Amino acid sequence: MTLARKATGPRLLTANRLDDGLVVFLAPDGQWHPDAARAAIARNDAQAAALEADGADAVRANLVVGPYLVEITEDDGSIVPVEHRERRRLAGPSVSTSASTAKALAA
Amino acid sequence: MYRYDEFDAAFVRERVDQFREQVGRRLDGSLTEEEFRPLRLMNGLYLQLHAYMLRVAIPYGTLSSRQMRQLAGIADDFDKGYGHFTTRQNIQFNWPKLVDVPAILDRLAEVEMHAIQTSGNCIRNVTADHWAGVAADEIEDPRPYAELLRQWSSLHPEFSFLPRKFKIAVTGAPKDRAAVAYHDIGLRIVRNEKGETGFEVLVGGGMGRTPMIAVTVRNWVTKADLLPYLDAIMRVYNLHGRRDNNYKARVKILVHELGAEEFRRQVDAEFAQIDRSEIGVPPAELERIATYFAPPSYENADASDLDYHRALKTDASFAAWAERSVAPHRVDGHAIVNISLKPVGGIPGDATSAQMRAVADIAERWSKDEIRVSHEQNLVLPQVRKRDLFAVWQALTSAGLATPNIGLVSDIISCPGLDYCSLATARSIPIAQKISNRLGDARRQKEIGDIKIKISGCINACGHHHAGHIGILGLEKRGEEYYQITLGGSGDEKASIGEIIGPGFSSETVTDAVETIVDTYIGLRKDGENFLDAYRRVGAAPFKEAVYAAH
Amino acid sequence: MPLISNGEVVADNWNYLDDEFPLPSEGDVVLTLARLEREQDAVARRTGKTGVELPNSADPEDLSAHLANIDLVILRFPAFTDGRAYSQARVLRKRLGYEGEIRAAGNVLADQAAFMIRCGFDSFETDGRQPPELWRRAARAVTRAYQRGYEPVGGLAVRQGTAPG
Repeated sequence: MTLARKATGPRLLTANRLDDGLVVFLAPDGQWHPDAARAAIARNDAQAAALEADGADAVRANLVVGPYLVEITEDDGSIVPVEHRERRRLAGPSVSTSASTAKALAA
Repeated sequence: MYRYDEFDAAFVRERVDQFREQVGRRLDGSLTEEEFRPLRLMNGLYLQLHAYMLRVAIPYGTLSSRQMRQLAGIADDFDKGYGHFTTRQNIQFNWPKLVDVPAILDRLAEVEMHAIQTSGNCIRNVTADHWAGVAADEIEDPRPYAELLRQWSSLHPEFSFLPRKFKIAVTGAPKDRAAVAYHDIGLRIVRNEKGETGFEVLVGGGMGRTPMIAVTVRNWVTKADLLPYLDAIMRVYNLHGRRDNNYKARVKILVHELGAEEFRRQVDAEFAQIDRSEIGVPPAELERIATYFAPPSYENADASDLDYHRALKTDASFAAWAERSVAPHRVDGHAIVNISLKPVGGIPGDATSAQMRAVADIAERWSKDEIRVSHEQNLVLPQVRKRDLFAVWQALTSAGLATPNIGLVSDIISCPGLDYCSLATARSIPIAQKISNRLGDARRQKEIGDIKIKISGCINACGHHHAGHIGILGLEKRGEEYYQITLGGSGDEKASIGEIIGPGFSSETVTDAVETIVDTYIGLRKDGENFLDAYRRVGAAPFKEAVYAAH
Repeated sequence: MPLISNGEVVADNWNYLDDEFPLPSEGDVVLTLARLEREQDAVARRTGKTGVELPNSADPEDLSAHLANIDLVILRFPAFTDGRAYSQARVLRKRLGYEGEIRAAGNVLADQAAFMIRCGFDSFETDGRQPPELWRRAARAVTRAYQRGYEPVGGLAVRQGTAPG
């Protein structure tokens, strides 16, 4: 997954965990967390390259699949990806099957 | 329905063992992701936006109650308690872990199911009319041939690495409920002047970025020649299909670029070289398969309709449900029941494990243990006695499965979209929910009548929007989702591709636009014609005018 | 680049002739298709074995005039996901009746061994990452198949009719 134009703003590194497929973010301690708030933020190209190198290591170690950089903004301290798709990926599904079924049972 | 014998069971068992070994080699790194990805795709395992997704094959949409219960168990034990029925008659689980997939495949193998070839550049699930074997208008049951093709296409040594995915559909009735003209190969059972049945073969239909209606390559292929002829088509495609550009790699592009005449000539030339006795199915084998689809014994109809007719008169809710959900069965005293998985304002095609179990119980008791999945993301109980319809309805109602909207405006087909899918550009499910809520009032729906709204969350068109009477395509521009509307598509025997009416709408205004379209139709329809017929009579102009004047 | 055949590493004694090198009348050489076509008369007179590399995009029919003089055809997998070579092999075996060696080269993985053998491949040019043991296991991993009319594989039962056979 590559950005359409070269990112310049703050970036974090995301991937999917190999064993369960869940979305994870690379933290400063080198661990991968599902919580984007714990992600390491690269503030320049050199830092971004370092994150990518860590990502490549994690792929070789069979921890994650397909790491890539996501450009973000930090509104009021909360992490918001710039790209629409990444915002949705971070947020999780906006719909709920159990709610949908509950509605059907109530109808 | 088809039952595995030792051969089939061993085949699936081996595939599960092979994939378990491949998962192990992936986890320990002896297979890289690049090497593993095509192998896991051939076992139906995708990596989606939030998690892995496992697509389980439901061959030509047929299920037994035992299989449905096993799917419910998988949903509970390995997923989040629900599954999603797809536009190709399969079921998807959205949250399996890679490490659990071998165990899930074991569970599936226990009930003669698998996830083989539900993804990848190979021949996918062969789909068929979801009323096969019981439809009142059927010429011949397509299921034996769908089963034959399922076996023939499973782990095919020559055709497992095609330029792109390959989808085959079969219909046995003149009314095409399987949308064969939108498939890479579409097969129609037809009768010749001698009264024999054979196949009309269509090639080159498809959705996606460049929707196309298939062309008839042969008006008549005998049953004995079916596999050899398909073999010829596949070889021409495998050798000459484009591999330079993923968006130009389907067989529809080859047919389009060669022209139907030249494509036909190449296939016929290849067919002439094939040793049919070697490739074709031995008659005894076809008979063996067909015996599994022999009609069950039906009790005498006699006066068994009385209870049903009485209930129609006395219970308005039951009558409203029956009007939409009950379809004519070829045998007197029996009916086809369609189960809506589209609660008003709900997620199209999803079912909880409790709902799956309810359907399994109902099918076992009242539908001779048969269930079907339609490509419009609903379920079917194909073998219900009319006198049991009231009891069936009551049981469905308890499970939240009796929404009386089959074929109506809230019976919306929608792909999972950007809520789940890594290919998507926009969310589709919330749009389905908004439209369903806006137009879901019972009287409104009845007034609008038969209409198919189909929504895709990206250009890949898994929601089949090109075949929607109203089609909606979700796109994205500058960080905002917007929705393009098409009109006049259809997947039936008079297949057509929907026409874009103009610039797209935001997620706030697309529902208004759809409502305007529907109101415009009501205003101009004649003699009770349905939406599609009205559109075909008047064209897009009145709708464009109304929608863009208002918005 | 270990050459594997029948689950064992075998010696590769072919001479892969550069186009500028003169064609020897003896010895086993592999030529490009273009060279084979240019020098077909000389090739026919050779006493050694002749092999040819058929490009992935070439029509196997292009070899039909030469097959009597050919002992090895090398088919290419540019990526293992590019399955054109399966059909090239199939056409060589079934339609053109070629009985010599067919070899797979390029991105060749043991996981497809059974498919390749059934389409008519005899040998596999590998990158060495997958040991012969894996190739033997992979060739035996599938013991049941539904497609009639393909090359037999030891231990593979093909669905024929009422009894698997």
